[in-house]
Amino acid sequence: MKRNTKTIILDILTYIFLATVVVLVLMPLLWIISTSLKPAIEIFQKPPHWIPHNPTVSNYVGVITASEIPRAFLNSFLVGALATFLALALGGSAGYAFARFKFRGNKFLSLFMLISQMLPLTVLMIPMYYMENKMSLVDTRFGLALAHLVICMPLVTWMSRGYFKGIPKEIEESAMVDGATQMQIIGRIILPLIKPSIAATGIYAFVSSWNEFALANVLTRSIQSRTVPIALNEFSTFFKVDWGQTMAAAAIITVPIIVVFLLIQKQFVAGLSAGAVKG
Amino acid sequence: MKYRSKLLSVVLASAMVMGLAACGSSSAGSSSGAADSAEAKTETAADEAKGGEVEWWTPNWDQEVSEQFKAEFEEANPDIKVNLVITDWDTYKSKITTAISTDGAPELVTILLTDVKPFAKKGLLDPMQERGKAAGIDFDDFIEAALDITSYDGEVYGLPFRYDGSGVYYNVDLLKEYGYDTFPETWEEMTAMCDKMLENGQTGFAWPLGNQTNAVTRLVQQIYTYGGQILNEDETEAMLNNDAAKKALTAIVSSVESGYASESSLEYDNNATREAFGAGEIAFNITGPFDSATLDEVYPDLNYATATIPGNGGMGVTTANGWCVSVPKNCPEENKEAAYKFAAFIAQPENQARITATFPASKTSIQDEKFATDILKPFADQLTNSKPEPAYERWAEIEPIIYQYIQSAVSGDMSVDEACEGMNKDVNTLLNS
Amino acid sequence: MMKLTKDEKRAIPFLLPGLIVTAILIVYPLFYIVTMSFSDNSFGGGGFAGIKNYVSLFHNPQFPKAIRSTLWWTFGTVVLSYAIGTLLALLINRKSIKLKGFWRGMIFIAWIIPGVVKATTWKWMFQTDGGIINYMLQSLGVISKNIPWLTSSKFALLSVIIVQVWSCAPYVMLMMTAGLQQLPADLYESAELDGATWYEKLLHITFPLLKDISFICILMVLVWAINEFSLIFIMTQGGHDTTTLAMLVYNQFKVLNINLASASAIMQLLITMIFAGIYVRCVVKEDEEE
Repeated sequence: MKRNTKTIILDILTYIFLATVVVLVLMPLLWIISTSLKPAIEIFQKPPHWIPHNPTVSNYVGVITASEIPRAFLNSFLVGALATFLALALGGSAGYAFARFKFRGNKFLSLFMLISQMLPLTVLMIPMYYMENKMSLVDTRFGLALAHLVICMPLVTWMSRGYFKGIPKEIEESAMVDGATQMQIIGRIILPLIKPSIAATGIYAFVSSWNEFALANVLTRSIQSRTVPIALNEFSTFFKVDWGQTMAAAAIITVPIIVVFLLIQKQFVAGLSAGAVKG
Repeated sequence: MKYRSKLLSVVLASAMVMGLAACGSSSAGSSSGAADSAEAKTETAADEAKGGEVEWWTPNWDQEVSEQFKAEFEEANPDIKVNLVITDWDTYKSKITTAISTDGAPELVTILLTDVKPFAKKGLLDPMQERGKAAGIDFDDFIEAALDITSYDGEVYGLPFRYDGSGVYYNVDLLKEYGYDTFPETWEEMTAMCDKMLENGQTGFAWPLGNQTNAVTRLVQQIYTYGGQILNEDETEAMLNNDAAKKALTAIVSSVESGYASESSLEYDNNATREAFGAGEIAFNITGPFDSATLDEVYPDLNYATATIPGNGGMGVTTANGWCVSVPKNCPEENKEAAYKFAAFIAQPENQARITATFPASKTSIQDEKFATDILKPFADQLTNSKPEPAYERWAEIEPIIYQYIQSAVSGDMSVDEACEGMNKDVNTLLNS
Repeated sequence: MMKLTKDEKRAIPFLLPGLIVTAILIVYPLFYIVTMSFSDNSFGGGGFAGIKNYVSLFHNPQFPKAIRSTLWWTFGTVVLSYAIGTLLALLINRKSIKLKGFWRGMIFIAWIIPGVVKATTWKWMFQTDGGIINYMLQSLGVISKNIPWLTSSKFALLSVIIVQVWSCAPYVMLMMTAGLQQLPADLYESAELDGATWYEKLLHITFPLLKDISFICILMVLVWAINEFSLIFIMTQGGHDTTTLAMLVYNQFKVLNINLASASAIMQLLITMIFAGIYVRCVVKEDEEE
């Protein structure tokens, strides 16, 4: 690749552009952190300013020790993990079936899966509530994880179908000729091949569940199952909104996911490339 | 290496799945609470036969008092168990709507007075007079205006325990600077005062036009002040293009245009106007009595006082609303008696005084000294000239329409006349659809 | 009972758990919504109401405005997200760029931030008088008067589109990056030998090969756009021409008009499917041409 002046100029422009984008991305996050470190009086001061005049950690202290956020954090994590696991297991195996076997309704059902991803959640709330109420699943983390499958499973199924189509049938067939059982094939051959893809769809499912609001609102009642987006409302009462604490809570719930993501982002990209291309 | 940790997390996840699935199917659902709820379950299993279980959905700003009530009531009635579910302002309505529309609804819910009629019309609430009287509630003690709002078709569907309206908070020092010892009593006097302030660059006040409910409430207050109404008696036709409505909208639009009302009004909600008032950005603020607690806490140096709202040649009209407890129809029948008992407990004058953050809805209770402080007195006076917030059947659909036109008029996209005609036309279309 | 082929028999254990869960979680609620949209009072067990609910949808004075806003909103977010996301993917993928992982990771943060948090924060930043954006624009001398981002019908829709693009473009970027990494290098080499320019390479090699992944990207952004409502609700409450179909659904739900809400939701779903269908048609047609 020739490194002439044209390339160098283009590179510099690119870096400037990328840096601008990163600044735009981080700006709200910085604003959140800035506000969370301000005492109540400073928050609405005009003109607005980035660096707090009298920085304080009282908001964080309040959120960590005296609010529901820590418990909600745990709930969100458990619900997300369970929803992700179920979506991967159920969606993944369904995707495998769609990719490998010829059967009537294959095309129809896989398209149906895709369409399910398009359902508006606001109206799903009521029938979902009725169902879970009858099954006594309201206000349980298991119930919420189950409900979250509505948003996680369809895409996971569709993407899995893509991944498996990308793995040549010959690999499995030669293993079968060698006498391996279906389960062995899956465990020893397929799973290792799709680990990056698991990472990719897994992250998508987890983040979707973590941020989900509408279903969590209706299906949780107490801190037993309340997740983080709902718990954020704790700081706004009829009379006033404690912005300092709300922002501190927001920082607390956002930063860990970002850290986790940065650690595994390489997997994520690798996984995405394997699965989506073979639509 | 990375793959191994991925495998590890899958294993962990499976372990969690086992754990969760094990205790997930019971409605208790949490692993740490399993011990407690097991105990509670055996207790209530025995008690349920006798008294009943009451689940009360109460908002987070009432949480402390609600817990006191629960403790006291359970002590006095050992055969009844009370469970609290805490709601919050943003989500209480959608959660309650969903929960009371099917079996297994909570026994008692705290809702706004104006929430009652729509629920009652859909048959979701219990009529309360008969069982309420049997439980010892004195319906004559409730403030009539409040009880009116929670009644429908001759029956009472909600027991009010809090009833309040708006009033004026003003910055004593600022007003003194411009030669005012007390707050102006008519709208004209008030605009004259704003004029003076404007010469020095001081903004008079701000409208909370950034929030749909806050904004429309202010317009409604103005319409009432000019003697108008939103809809006609039968709720079949809108009256938004008559004189009163036009004057009302003009009051809002012209105050922003001339600068008396902050140009940030379009973005402010009630919280923001309070902050602006506390910071001295505006000289006075029209809002409810609950603001005083927050002002004291966040702006302790602010020297403020309260007054009634100036109106058209005299005291203005405020909208009034409040909170009440209702019994959903779909709650388990065997718990209803206990529910009414607890409701009666809450409705007692002394208890109303404890749980309200503003005024109780009880005639005897509101006479209490604690509601006659300097700060609170103007609000009580203002309540004598109040009208309930609209509780029309289709109000929730009408509100967004009105809001859009208020915004257009204030941002100058259309004239007041155009906005009122437009509002009127759209609401009529809605009512006839 | 139909005769099952050998393949079908083998498929059953894989398919069944997923299908059962789908039937419960998706088919039942869908069935419920469709039924509700054709009936009267949901709580009193009303009767069949034909297409009354759908008709009254069209009579709602907010409906035509909502359709218009929804179209602008959807079109704006999909096109901008795809364009910006793809541009970012292409730029970062260039051989001479260092720290690829860093750039991608940082930019993706925008997608991860919870909806409520980003809506409230951006709302704050967009405030006309007290907002940091106007403050910075003024300090830099870019504008002289504060822009009413959220309070004027000129800017409100643009502002919410900005936030939605801000959060969706990173997702597109990541997906397209994945696609780009799959592209065979030899195709480019032979094209360069033939003397192809960069835009010829882009148009004739890159984009055609990225068709499949573009399909998924655009579909997802489309679906997110049509179903998104809490962002707009928190930022403008639907004022100044930002009410979309999704908001209408929520408004009806708030009013306990479950029947109307269901009808609106079905309409929303149909519109989504029409958009998706059009898009699928384009992709499938090109497939067949090859």
